[in-house]
Amino acid sequence: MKSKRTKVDLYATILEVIRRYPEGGRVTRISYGVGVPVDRLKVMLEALSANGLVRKIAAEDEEGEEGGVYYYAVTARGLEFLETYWKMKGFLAAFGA
Amino acid sequence: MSDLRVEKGATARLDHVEGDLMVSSNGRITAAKGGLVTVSGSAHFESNAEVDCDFQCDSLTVERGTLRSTGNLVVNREADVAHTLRVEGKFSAQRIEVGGRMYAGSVSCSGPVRVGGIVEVAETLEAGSVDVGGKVSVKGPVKTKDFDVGGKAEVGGGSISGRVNVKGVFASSGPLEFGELQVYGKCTLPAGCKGQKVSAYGKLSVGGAFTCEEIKVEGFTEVRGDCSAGNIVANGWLRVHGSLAFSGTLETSGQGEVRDDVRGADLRVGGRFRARKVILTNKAEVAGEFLETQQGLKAKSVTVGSGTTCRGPIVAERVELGSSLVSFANWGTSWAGQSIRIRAIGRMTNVEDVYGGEVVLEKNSRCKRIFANRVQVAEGCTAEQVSYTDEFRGAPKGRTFFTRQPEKVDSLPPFPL
Repeated sequence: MKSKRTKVDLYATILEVIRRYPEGGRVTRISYGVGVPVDRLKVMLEALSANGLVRKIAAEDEEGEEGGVYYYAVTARGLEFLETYWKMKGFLAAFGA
Repeated sequence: MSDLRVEKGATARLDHVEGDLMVSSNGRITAAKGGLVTVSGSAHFESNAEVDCDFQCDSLTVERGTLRSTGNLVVNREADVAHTLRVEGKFSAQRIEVGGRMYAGSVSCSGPVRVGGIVEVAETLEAGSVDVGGKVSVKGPVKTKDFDVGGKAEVGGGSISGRVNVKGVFASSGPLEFGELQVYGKCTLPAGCKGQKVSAYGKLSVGGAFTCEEIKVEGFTEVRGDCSAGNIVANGWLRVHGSLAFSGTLETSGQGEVRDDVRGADLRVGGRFRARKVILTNKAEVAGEFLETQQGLKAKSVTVGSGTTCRGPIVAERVELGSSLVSFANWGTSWAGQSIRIRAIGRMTNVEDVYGGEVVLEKNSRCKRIFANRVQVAEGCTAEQVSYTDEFRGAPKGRTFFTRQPEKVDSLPPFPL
């Protein structure tokens, strides 16, 4: 049986999906990529944003005003988190974990 | 230009649309004749839709839901699907962007393929580059330049000329040619793979013969056949079921096992290393616990660190036993180097027969027989037999221990390797 993704696994998957949108990804697109509903994803994006792993960018409409639409992009700290996460997974795989 | 709109839930029998095609949710497209529908402009699907024939358009967008195509799908320029795309036949485009999942019979894309979630391809995948956030599964061969996957990737072999970067697990079921393969987790390759560089933090497992310019594995390396490389760094386990050949350096600081012969230029061993025979064109530096050969170790120069055991004969122009680990100082910065240093403290260097031009036994070294032109023995050393042709320099009597006193001979016996 497939094991359930842990919260950290989910955070890493979210960052991996966002990383593929260097210009910033919309929450709906990210949710399709991660396979998590938008409402649940928003909570996790807030947590990632609060920890400085994700940057939240407000999209401006044609008149230059914020329309409540946000794009998400990975920060340098987010990339560092991903690097460490995958390296740790690699080390654990070597031990058969 | 005559744009066409297919209403919600409606089925449209089409042949050719001159202009753009807009399809509302749950719309269905079928071919009026010949099994192909062509759209000269863009095809825009608002939500779930089905194309029940071959379909060709200039550009494709799917706002939501799943677009299902039972035939071949040809997009002259960009395909942009927010959620899911299922193509039972061949899917070709200049550029592919899918937010969620993409399933296709085969994919041909001259530019980049970017998918947020999962890609499953039943046959072949050809693309300028592949960039997937989650998982990729391609049953047939892959042909691309760069291949970047956030999670797991399974391919049926092929050629990836540039960089393969897989964060989780990478497996190829067919022979793969690659430029640089970087896997953070586990990497499984079949026999007959060739590449420039492979690096894995977890495990590298190759099902048969393997050729690669540079191999760097932090965890476990297993090659179930002959292995040929330029340089190899195996910091954890290294196990080769055949022979191992390298043109540069083999550096192993964990546990190494080679069933057949090892041939190369430089060897640096920390930890444990076993092989049938080791033949080097340059030098061997052995530190850590032991190096064991059935038929022997031959090199231009051999340095055995203090506290290390070598089983099997050693043949070299210069052999230095019990050398201070200072000579391995450049290893000292790594955790493996530190570990070797700590484990070797307070132990005697112990080797079997030594054949060479010049043999130097540093303090507290022990060996069975020495056959050399020049021999130098420091205090605290023991040897069963020393035969030399030119010169013997030993520590004062009582501080060296010989079963038979060293003897000068006219000629040395033939060397074993």
